[in-house]
Amino acid sequence: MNGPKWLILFLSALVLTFLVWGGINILTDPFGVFGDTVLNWDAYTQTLNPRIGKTEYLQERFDEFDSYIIGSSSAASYLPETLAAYDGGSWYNLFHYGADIDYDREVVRWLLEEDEVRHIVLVLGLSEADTPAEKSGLTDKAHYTVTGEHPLSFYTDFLFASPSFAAEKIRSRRQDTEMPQAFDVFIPENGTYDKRLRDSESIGSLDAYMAKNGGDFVPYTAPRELQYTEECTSAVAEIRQMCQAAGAKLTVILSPVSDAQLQGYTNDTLNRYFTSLAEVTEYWNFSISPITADARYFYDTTHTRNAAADMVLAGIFETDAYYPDNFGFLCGDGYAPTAEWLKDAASAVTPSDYTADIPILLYHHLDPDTAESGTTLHPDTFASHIKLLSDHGFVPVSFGEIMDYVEKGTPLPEKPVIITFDDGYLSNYEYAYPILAEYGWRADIFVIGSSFGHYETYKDTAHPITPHFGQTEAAEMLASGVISLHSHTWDMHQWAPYETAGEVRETLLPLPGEKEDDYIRVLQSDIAAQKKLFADAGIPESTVLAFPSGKYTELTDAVLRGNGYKVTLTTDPARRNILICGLPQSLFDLGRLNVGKDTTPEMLLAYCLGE
Amino acid sequence: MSVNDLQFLGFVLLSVLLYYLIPGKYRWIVLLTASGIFYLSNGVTAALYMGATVILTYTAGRILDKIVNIKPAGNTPEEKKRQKTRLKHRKYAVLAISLVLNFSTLAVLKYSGFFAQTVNAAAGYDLLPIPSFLLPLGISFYIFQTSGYLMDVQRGKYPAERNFAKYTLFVCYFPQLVQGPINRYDALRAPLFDGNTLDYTNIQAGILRMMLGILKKAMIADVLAPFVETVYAGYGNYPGILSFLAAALYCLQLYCDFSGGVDLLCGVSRLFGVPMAENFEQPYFSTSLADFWRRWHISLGEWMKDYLFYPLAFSPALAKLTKKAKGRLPAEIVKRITPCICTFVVFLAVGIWQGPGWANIAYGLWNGIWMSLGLLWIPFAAKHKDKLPKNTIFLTLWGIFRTNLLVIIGRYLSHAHGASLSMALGMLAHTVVSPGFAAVNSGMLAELGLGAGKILQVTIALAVLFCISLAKEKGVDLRAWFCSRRWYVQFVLLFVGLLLIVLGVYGNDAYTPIAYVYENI
Repeated sequence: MNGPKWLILFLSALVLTFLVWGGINILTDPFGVFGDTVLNWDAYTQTLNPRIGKTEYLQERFDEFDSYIIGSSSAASYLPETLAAYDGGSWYNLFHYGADIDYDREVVRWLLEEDEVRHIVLVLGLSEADTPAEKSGLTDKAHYTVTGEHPLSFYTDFLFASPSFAAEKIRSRRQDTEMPQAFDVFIPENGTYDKRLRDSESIGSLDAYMAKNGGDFVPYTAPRELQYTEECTSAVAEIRQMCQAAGAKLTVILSPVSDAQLQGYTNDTLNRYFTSLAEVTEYWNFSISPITADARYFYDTTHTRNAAADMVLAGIFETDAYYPDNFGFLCGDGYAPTAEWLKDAASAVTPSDYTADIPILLYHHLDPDTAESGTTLHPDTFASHIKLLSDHGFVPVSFGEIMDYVEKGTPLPEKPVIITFDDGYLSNYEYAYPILAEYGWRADIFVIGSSFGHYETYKDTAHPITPHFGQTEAAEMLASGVISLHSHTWDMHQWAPYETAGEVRETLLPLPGEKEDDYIRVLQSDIAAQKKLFADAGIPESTVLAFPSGKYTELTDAVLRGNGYKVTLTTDPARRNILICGLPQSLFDLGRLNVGKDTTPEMLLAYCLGE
Repeated sequence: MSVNDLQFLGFVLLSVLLYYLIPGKYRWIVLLTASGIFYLSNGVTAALYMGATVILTYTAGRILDKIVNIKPAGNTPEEKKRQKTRLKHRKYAVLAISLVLNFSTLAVLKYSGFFAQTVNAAAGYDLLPIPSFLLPLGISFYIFQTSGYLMDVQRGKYPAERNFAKYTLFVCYFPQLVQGPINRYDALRAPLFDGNTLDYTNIQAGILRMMLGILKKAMIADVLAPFVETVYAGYGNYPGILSFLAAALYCLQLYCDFSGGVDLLCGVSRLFGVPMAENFEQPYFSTSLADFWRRWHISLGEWMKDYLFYPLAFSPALAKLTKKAKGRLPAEIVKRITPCICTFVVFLAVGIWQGPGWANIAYGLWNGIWMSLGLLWIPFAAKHKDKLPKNTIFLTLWGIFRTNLLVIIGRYLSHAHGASLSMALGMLAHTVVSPGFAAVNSGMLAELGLGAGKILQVTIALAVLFCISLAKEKGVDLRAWFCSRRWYVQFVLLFVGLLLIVLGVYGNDAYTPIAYVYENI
């Protein structure tokens, strides 16, 4: 075939190629601009490009929200639910990737035009004044309704976007699980990151934290200039004017900065930024604060933890949640404290002001008639331990007290200690309870729900077991205030020899080859059964759980957090329990010393003294 | 505007439509305008540099033309002879001055930095400031093309172009600008200026060639590039055998990048009915290094042959040298002194042409030495002809193997971006000293950007390319073969080709196509 006919043939093939290309992009719709009707996956589209994903999401739901959080990824930690609790209203977090104050301004303009806005929180970092954002193609592109781009040009870009976006979305769909992954890390309903996994990481000593995460704290190299200060402040000024004109409240927050980032800047350049900003708007300066020096309040060099952002909001709204002294200063009318002054104020708060080291001891069964072992002790031995600790000035505290310390900063005694018992044996009631009462001490018992009140046999079998206390004993102990009861799971600490089912769950670990979603379902129903037992037996609801045999996975932690558990315990004596005010992660996966026949009084004391 | 994006294809389409819509005698103006727009879109400074070259070479060409056309006058034969000599000297003087001026643009813009660095290194302190210039697009190509033109005019091969605008078009014709080929005025003149009529064969050939070019670049070159770049940049971090693999893959990358780019642009030119010089002829099928250089970057090789090798070979200095050697050395050697020296100089020039830096010079020398040795080998081979194995398939394959091995080793030196001699030699030593075969695994390759999917993609693309090359080598007219298929077969092949282009060009992880390696040479 030759001549014009061939040209027509070629052009037809070309048209078909474009049709197929565009068709694939419309069907898979990686950016969600064509309605995403087939896969309908907002978490994915927002992750790929939050600017467009969120604009598309909000466009259909303006009536559901009246207040917005604006900013780059440093705004990601500011939670709509916290703001709703402190300030009322219904909030949506519109943060996007990359510091880009010009985009923030356009978003505010768009919001004020489209919706009746009550309150806007604009979160700034140092990056907004450092360098203009680098945009890398479609993943940073903004929606045409925000930028005013011609819709034809906008949609053409996505119609003929790289097919790899479509392929990636399909591949991701096949790998999708219940928990967030790198490709679907957003919660479309409120616009924040889904940090169920990220925030399930336990945090203890600074050394351990840096050993694990030090690589994420790449220090900025000095001297860096905040060379974009003028452009940044003029954009903020415009935002303020727009909000004033529309009658919307504007709160500007200069978010906490990590030491790794701060060391890149001179005081002069910081002061210029602080003052310029104060000339155009009232704002809260949290940038240099007591948490600056402590990397545990940060995910990495430029990102504050959700918990730290909660502290910022607690500081602004002056709630009873914890926030340190000298944390956040209101600036405005051209006045802002200098970087030097802020650094001085921050250094007045030291780690001893907001951290506490707490030893936790683990006992199991007490029996005067059996030889001592790793899990069985003579009651007299237990009594001698309590006496020893008491003589050395240790004061028993409850999990409620350590939670208050972390959440509200309520002080702890100088030498706190927690005594725990696992499994819920009757001997805890018969021997430990009277000894504790005698010394005026207290302890916490972790009950296996399925064995609760089983005095003779294992669950519904005929196998004899060490007796476990039941409702009567529990009621008496609880009423005394000496004992608190918590969960050791309902039935995930099974005793393999007595189990008839094929798959035995000896710990909270998933079974080999178990699918993530199946595991989550099993765990959820175990948690529900245990909660029901507590409610039925009149045991106060508890948010503390000890992992059977101390074993768990990241997913276990995440599911437990999702079910309201605030404190989890392992059996790792090497894990120092450093509680950190404001960081709920410091209550996760706490270590315990298992006290058995080989534990000498010296060892016990050394552990409690942190030696 | 980059030739990599859709914008360029739109620009070409518009230019082609306009070209055939206006009357024939004005069509070259469309090409001139399009070329102007294309070059200006790449920066005004670059366009100014090119403008200076155009003015210089146009003027020099006209002067040379005038001198060439002056008939020696004189009343006596002696007077005529004297006049002839005077004219000859004047002609050479004009040529020399214009060539020096022309090449000095290239020298200053491209090599002054290297020169200053070398002087400073020798002096031990910063004697000279290191200049940094913006390198105009395709500067080496147009400087060589205009210099060749001047030498041709001087030789009286053809008259100089009188129309300044047309001459400008000859220099800045946009399909040849990015990476050549180095065209000849006499070959380009008629198709460029005469206003070609619409011939669907040209359109068909142009489109198919463009597709082949884009596929080579997107499916092979750009896929291999990240691996090659990473290993060259940090060869010490990987087993030595990966250095060798990177150099070998760089050969393929460079071929697909360079020849793919040339295919694309030759295809574009063909749409206007302007055939450009061929630049490649299945170079990796070469059985000797000399063969390789006849097939690789042909237009540069031809240029070197016509404007450097032959003038040098017929120069009085070399004639004198050969004369002196006669009687002192064996006749077979004496016969080869001139070609050896000329080959050596030509490859030194090729090395320098590659870009500044000792590594490039070493690359030229590497080729020059082997080529000269090859020349010296000829008499020996002739003498022992009977003892050497007869020409068999095995011998051909051995020739191909050994040639490619030399080419690969050469590519340690000529890596186009920022190669330094010490780095190249270090990488060579690393390959030999610590090959570390055992340490290589698929995970390492995947980490370096060559996962199983990429390897499969490249392997298939290379297999197709190999078949195409083999067919060409055997003299098969692939376009005729393609066009004689049933319409639906053609349709499916075109559709698959276009889909592969979409996947290859727009489906890369990087999302942005990589600039042509030779773009800034």
